Amino acid sequence: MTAGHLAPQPAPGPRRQESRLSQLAGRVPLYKAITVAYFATVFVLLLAPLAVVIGSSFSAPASEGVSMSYVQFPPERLTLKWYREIPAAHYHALALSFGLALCVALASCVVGVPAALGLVRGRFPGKALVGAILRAPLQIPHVVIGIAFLQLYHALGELSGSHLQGTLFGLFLGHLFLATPFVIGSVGAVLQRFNPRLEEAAFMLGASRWRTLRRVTLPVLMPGIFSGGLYAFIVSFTDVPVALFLAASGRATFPVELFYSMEQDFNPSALASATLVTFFALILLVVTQRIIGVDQLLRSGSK
Amino acid sequence: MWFETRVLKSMLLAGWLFSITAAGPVAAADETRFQGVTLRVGTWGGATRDGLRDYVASEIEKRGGKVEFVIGSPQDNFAKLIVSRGQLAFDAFDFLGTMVPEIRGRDLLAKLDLKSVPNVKFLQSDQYNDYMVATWNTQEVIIYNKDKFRDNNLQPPESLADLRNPKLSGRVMIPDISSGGGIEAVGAFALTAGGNEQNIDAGLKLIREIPNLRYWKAGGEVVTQFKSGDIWVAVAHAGWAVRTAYAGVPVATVPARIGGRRGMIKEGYIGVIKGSPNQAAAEFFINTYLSTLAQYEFAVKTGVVPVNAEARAKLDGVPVIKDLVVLDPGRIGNMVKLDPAKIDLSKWNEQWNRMISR
Repeated sequence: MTAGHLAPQPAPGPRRQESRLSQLAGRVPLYKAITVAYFATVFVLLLAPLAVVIGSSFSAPASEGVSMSYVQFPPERLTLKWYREIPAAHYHALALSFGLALCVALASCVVGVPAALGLVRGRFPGKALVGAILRAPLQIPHVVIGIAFLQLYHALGELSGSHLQGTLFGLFLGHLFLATPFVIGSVGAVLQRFNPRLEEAAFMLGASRWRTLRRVTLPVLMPGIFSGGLYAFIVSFTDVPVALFLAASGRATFPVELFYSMEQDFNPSALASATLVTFFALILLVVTQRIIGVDQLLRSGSK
Repeated sequence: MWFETRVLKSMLLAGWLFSITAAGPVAAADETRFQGVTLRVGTWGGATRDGLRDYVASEIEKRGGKVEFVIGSPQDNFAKLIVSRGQLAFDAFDFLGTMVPEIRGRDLLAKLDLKSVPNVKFLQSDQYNDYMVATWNTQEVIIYNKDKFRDNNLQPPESLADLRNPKLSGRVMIPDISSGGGIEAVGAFALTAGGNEQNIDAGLKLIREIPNLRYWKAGGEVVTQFKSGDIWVAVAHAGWAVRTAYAGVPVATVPARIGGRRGMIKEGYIGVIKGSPNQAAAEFFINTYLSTLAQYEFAVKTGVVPVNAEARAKLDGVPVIKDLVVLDPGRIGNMVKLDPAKIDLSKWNEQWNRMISR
């Protein structure tokens, strides 16, 4: 080590600082390019499967007399044939899944919001354990949940004589079990940041408990309720393993129908069904945005 | 002469009157035979369920009954049966040959009244017994693209060991053990490599020797990969070869040489669940399933091979099918069938995960 190493470095002068800034400015376009490339790659990776599904659903074979039991992307020729050939069973299953998911989303909010309020604000022994139990469905494989519910229904049936297995209500309860933790989690997260002085102020101004809940608490919780409900809807709408065990006979859900269509007799009408659902979801999102405003819903708590 | 004609006419008239008075109630009784009956059948979804609905369930519905399908794989439906602890999940269900020992071991099936299933006469005697009836089979074969093989001066494969050819690197696809035909494929590799149902290590080593091997989970992948030209050869059931040919790919099939035999066969069965209150309807369902018309139409729709000899003979007239599927009873009889009693599936899966999956 030489004395020169220990000698204090001269403070950077204005000229030196200027050159550093210009160096940084020179780097910005490169930094921006990398950022854009990174996000573009992520978007392409996320959207590519969707593009393949949508593109293939319009695909016709290059020549006549060829049967399509494969995915062709990009399409050689375009057709709407697969949309005309969507089996009636897919429409029935879609209506069933949509109705079921809507009921599950609403019910999981009804159950999940009070549960989240109790977990965050309540003071009772074993609170951590109760919290863990309510989160448990997130950690259990769905196949196991399906079998466990089926077994439970059979046991209950033996005891009470009323059978839930193979009924829509039985499937609804299974999905409610899966979906409620999402509402509890999202509402709980909002509640953790909730400023209790807002409620205190409402009480001091003479609002009743019910009025405070309706006019102060719930609007603040709305982003959590909305996102939790949306998750609950998606969990129910896309579930295969639980539905395989609990679905009513003769009434398969949409993902189960699609799953077996793809596995058994691959036919692009399954892709057409999936594309319709994708477009339906997009339209729903746009309409919700226009009428209610998704941003508004998500922001409503911070007002 | 005049008298004879008159007597003959009278006899014909009497015969006709008898037939409409006697046969009428019989026909009417047959039309309402299953009035109020709802038969629940566990089976696959997709084409299998649609085929059964169109060609089998429709006959029960014509007679006043109703058929509901509980869709799921045979393994899923078997799990439902075990969990149901005596309560009926369904009246009848489709299952695979590899599941027979466990199903029989658990005593889940009702004894069939084979007099109510007269169409078993179209089956070979080893395809049914008092508790179950074979309904279809698939032939696990090597499917290859004739043009690609010709253009690359490759000889058609004769055995699964031929798939190790370095010129086929990255062009071979076999079923994953969890997919349809996966167990039969692993068994075929084991037998080819000198192993057996109780020792599949040699077969798994053989699989590992195939360079850049790909695996399929759903049969549709086979057709898609052949169509795109990414694969030149695959191990799958012959029904997928038919669909690949219909998609415009020039494929041929080879039942692989396994010891002194050719090809591997997989069988599907149906049985009635013990305690079913709808046994008569279930037996009618099975009998209709085995009819020549249903077997033929079901085979065309789903790509399986009929167990009904008449339906198989009828398929012999369909050009693509007769070229790609073995329909000759002698050759079918020479195909290898795995002994399910010797298969320990959990051990197979564990070995597969250790040696093949990464």
